[in-house]
Amino acid sequence: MTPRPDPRKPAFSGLGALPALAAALAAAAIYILAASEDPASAFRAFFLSPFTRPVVLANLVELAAAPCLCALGTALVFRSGDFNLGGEGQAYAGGTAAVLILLAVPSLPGPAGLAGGFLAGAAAGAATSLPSALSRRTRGADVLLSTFLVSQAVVLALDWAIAGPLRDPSSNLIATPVVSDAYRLPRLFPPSGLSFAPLLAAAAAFCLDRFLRTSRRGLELNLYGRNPAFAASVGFRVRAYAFWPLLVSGALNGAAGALLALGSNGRAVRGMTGGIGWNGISIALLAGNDPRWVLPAALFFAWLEVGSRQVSILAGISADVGTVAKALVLLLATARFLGSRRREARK
Amino acid sequence: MDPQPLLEVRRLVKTFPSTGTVALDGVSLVLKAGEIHAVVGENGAGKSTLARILSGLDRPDSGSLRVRGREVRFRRPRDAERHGIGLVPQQSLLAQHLTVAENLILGREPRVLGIFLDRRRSYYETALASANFSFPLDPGAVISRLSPPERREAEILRALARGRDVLILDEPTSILTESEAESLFALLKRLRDAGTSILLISHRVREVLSSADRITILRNGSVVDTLRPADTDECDLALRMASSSSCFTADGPAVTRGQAVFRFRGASLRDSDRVTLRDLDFEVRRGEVYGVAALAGNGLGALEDLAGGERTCDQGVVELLGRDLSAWPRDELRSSILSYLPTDRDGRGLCLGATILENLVARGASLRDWSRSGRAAQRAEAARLLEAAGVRARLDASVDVLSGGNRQRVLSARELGSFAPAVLAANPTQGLDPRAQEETWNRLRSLAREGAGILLLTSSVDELFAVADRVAVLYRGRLTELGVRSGEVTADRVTRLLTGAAA
Repeated sequence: MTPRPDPRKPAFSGLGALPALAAALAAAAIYILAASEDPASAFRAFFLSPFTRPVVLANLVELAAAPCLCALGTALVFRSGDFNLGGEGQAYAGGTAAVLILLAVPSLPGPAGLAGGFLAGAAAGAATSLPSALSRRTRGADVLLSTFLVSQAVVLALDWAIAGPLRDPSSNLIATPVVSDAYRLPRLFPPSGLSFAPLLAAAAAFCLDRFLRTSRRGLELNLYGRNPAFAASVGFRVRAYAFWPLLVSGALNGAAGALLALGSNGRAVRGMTGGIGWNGISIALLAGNDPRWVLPAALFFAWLEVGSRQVSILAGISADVGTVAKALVLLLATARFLGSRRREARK
Repeated sequence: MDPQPLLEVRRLVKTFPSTGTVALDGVSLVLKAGEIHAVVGENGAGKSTLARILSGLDRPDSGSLRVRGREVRFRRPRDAERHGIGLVPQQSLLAQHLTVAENLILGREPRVLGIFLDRRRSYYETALASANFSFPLDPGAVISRLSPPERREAEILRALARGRDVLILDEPTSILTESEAESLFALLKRLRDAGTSILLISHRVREVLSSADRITILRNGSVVDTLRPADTDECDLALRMASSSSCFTADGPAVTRGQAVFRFRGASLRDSDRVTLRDLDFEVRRGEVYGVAALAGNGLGALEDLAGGERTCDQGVVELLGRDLSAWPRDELRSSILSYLPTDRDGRGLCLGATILENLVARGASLRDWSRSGRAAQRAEAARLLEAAGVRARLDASVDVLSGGNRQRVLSARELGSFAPAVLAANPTQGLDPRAQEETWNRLRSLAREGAGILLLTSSVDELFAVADRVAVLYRGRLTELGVRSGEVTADRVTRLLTGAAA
């Protein structure tokens, strides 16, 4: 059997994640030094300003929620020994489905509508991952490829649909009509965008952690992910483990998409997911696919994001600084992961 | 005086620190020009290690190699090839999707203008080589379409293309039928007469006696003797290979046998290029240990797959407790009916990368009750099992850090820690020291006394004699039942059957 990657080497355990984190911050610092005329204030804007104003901090926490859900989905599939690269399309489908459902039934009570929207989003995300799950189970197809391909197709189809038949002709945005106000995520701390979404993400992380660490099926899933031949031999239901994690992952990505759509916009905007699937993968890798560390890692990413926005507003430096830092995290976390895989292969 | 030896091996020592085994312990050997020299020994005697060193795949810890009187050091296979030594390994090195000719020139392609592959010349060379040794091989045939004997020939051709003075063959007949093997030996004799020296590695006594000019016996990494076929016979050779010549002890088995646990009825298994199991008919009953012995390449692995329910037979049926084995739901089967110690310990028996605790609770009642409330109890139980197995390690340590022997103990602790009516033990003491080996054997015997039906598959005659109540031998996929152990069934007789010598 080919050696499998170690899906549970937590980048956060010990000092493992520190190089990635430190390098990301150092890259941001160098960028700012090179680009800014007043580095001291730019540093403050990037590193500290997110924490000085409660509204900004609240936005930061809100910003972490959706990528956190995506990262949890990625981590779950990773534990089953595979890679879900389709987060982007699954989230896009989830967001669009949530909006469409709520546009179709405009007069439900708010909470019921929200719940329905989330369920629709989760279902659409799961449906997007269904072809990959089915083809893996029946034909052993490569999940990494199939999730990516299906996701790309879904993204193209939705881009077209939102610009065409679903478009709100009265709007300047390429977007669907706006859902009824009752269906928007209630704001807990106006004027910030903070909603209950971070709580939802934390609850999902808690449940996933409990499942993986204390339930029988979670144990079986972990062992299956490491060695499918062993799992089959001791009598685990391996066909189920080749199927359900991917569907649940799709549902989590779909719910993340619904969060995006029903949060700030209240509508499906073309390209609204903006790389959330890839952010989810970076976060999951940084957290070593350990649900306990996913929320902190998501907050770190949100910090980079908010910091770069602040620095562009306050110090006039391009917001690309955050992108550079995030890219470095992805690179280093992946290198770590590949490094451990190669060490195992050598063994 | 003999002419100068072609290849001389002096006091080779090779240890594998990761497992602590001494594969070769001061082996010396002389290969003369134009002879077929057989190296025989049981599994683990060091035969393959010797072949790997001679062909540059492994380096010895100490000792020397001489080719035509000059000392040489091989760092890689190409060094050996430069001195005219070619290896035909047990596992094929041929690229399955390429043609015979392409395989032959792989890595040393003839080129046009130094860039383009000279296809015509490579075919010509192959056809020439093929004709030289009267191989009926088509240079343009794709390897995967060839029959097993043709593949062997292609493999030999490939080795000859790399080194035509010394040809090393590691268990060349393991995938061949008897008649195919005979034609292979005819071919080897032609090669020898054409001037190639052949080192033939085998554990099949009869083959060796009929084809070799000289025979060197290896046992536990040391040379026992080098002799001519005329000075020995099948029985003598088999006995000298065996690491013990014990007979069945007199204390007698408990022959209160009950209901059939495993039942093989006309079970056959066909495989594209491996040993076929032919028409197996036997029963393992409650209260007994039924031992099947075989050397590598005779179908023991296939029998393990059938009895463990990992594969189903092509013909006939395998039943477990009266029900077709393939009809049992796998989770029910493995949680309470069948305990299984696989030969492939690290691939099938354990989950590397997971903790010792996770490996211990992966089956049976401990898994069923693996819930938040029960986990403290599971931990305590696992700790007890681990201590009883004599493994000193933390439950949360990765099972990877354990030595092979300790991994085997963890596996035994999980599979034999609780009673199951059926036990499949395939090489259950691999890697264990004598004391732990003894404990495992005792455990198997006590499970049998409690009423389990135990199928023991082993490549060690010692193990067979230490545990089994009834004995059978698998040779080239056919099972010979020797019946209840008694004075007539001696290690001598079993060893002869194992190597295909007449009983």
